[in-house]
Amino acid sequence: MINIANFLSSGESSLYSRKPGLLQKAATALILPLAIGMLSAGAGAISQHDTASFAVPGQHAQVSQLNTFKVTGAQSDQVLASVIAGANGHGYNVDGNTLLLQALLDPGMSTRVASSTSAVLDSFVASLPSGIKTSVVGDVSAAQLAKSMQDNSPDGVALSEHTNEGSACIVYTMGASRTLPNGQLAQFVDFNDALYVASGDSSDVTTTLHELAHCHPNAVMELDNHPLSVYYESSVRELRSDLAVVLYGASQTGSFEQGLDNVTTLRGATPMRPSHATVGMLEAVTQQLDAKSFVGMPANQVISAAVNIVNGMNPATNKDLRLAFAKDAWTYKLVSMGQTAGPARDANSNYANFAGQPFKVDMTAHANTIVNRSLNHALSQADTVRASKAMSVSRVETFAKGLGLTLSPEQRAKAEFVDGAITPVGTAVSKDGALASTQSPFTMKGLESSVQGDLNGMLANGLIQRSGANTASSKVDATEIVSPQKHSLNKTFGSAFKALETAIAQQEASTRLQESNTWRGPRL
Amino acid sequence: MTQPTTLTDFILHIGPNGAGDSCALLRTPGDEWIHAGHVTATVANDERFDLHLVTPAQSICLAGVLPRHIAVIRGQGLYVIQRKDHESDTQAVLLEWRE
Repeated sequence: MINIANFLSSGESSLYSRKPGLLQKAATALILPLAIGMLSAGAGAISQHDTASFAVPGQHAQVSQLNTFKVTGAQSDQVLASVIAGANGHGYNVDGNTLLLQALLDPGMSTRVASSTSAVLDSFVASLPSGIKTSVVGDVSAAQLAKSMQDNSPDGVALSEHTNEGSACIVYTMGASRTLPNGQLAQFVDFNDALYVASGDSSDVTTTLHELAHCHPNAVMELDNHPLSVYYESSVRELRSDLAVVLYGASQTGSFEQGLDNVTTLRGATPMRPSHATVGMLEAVTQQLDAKSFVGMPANQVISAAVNIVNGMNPATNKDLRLAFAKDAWTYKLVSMGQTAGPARDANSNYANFAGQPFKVDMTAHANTIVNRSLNHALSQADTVRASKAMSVSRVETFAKGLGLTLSPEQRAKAEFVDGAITPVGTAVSKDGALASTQSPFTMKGLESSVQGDLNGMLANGLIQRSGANTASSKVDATEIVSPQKHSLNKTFGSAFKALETAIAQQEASTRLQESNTWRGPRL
Repeated sequence: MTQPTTLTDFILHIGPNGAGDSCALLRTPGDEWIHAGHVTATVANDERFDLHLVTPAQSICLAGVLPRHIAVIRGQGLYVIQRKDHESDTQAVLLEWRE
């Protein structure tokens, strides 16, 4: 059973209210009587020792004052915290991005992770056990490694190693796909071999979830000696990472649709990357899952769930996955040969053998899946797409034609709705009311919010500690208003007793003011 | 039939409990007593969730709860810390998470 005194004496309280100014009233009306009642009435769970702690509201300040961490941007030179002891016993400094990645991947810190864009990456590298350091970093400097990752894998990459000495991963994700030659960040990304235009924010979140899943050990797959096996093995690795993105979307919305729209738009590029053929497998996997069961799941659990779900399906021999992959591979084989029209086509023996059964592919259905999900993704980024001027109706038409598809009236209407030359930025609903822009669940704000509890837990458990007063974190007000306009005002404060202290001070001030007014003369 | 109630003004507290964190709904003395039951969540909007407290005779919705609170509740359930009146002991009732 919970120890109420200990529980309330530290941590973080959040007020949900639509009424501005209610914070102090609530602190006074709710927390004050509760605490005073506990002290005076002597609640069963409170010992004399526990009671004494109420008189020292600030004693848990290490936790309560540090309740908000901030992602520090793509190229981070701000040290937010230090890890108490690294894998080899040495501490190291971390930036906000690294903190985010660590909390997302493994808040228990069995696997150490760092952002390659951190200006203090060298500190992390120096803390690595020698075997892991040799494997991940080699004999280059941390700065050279970071540059190499960015140059060789501009769309993001994860380098990981798992040995008896420990596990470590270095990830390039923040600013991936949108870092310009001058080092500045583009506001949006545009993969022009697909219909993928997305805000930098959405792209960073997608890449982060995807690459962090790559930090998990690869599934052991003993595949038959088949020409497609090498592509299948790679695609299964990508499947775990793409599924992490889809499951995160479900954790925010209760549906797989927006995650599938996001990933399918990326993977629907033409020509297809046969080593990243995940579209069909994602549909097959998600059909076996209940999206609502992921609602509210913490992001780190989402990532590990994606990995465990795919691993648990025994992908080397799983008939559903092999068939879905073979269908994708055969489809794109036909696309590459320009054979996009006509009835469903039988797979040749090579692809049928890999699937373990004969099968047909419906080229039109496949093209519609790619185009429809791409257009739905654009609707979730409508203003970004319009402002980019990068996705015209003619671009959509040309892309669809490459898949053998002529746009339907509905598809054309969506294309026009996100075409910046036709529909102004800021248009939420189409003229006929048939279309509306949607909201993407892939926001850095949401991702950042999801890890605050884990980061505070890492602080409380002594895994990390805050850096000095000259850091960005110290500038963050402990009482931060979150989303004040919509839904409800939410104000977070350090602890119930910090609020209590404030409430008491307010009460006393109010009392003094009233006495003063009375003494001076008539009220207005 | 249980009459559902929606609360828009409430306080959730995350604090230490054993090895990890737990989340509690803080109630003021005299508020309707919340009995043991279970808790579940549905998607609201704007990255928020509606939290549903279900007891044998009550159906209470906490509107617009943040994902980080849901994450803790999902793992540990939701405590309701409440007192019948100013003379009574403070009690914590656990509502377990249900998918």
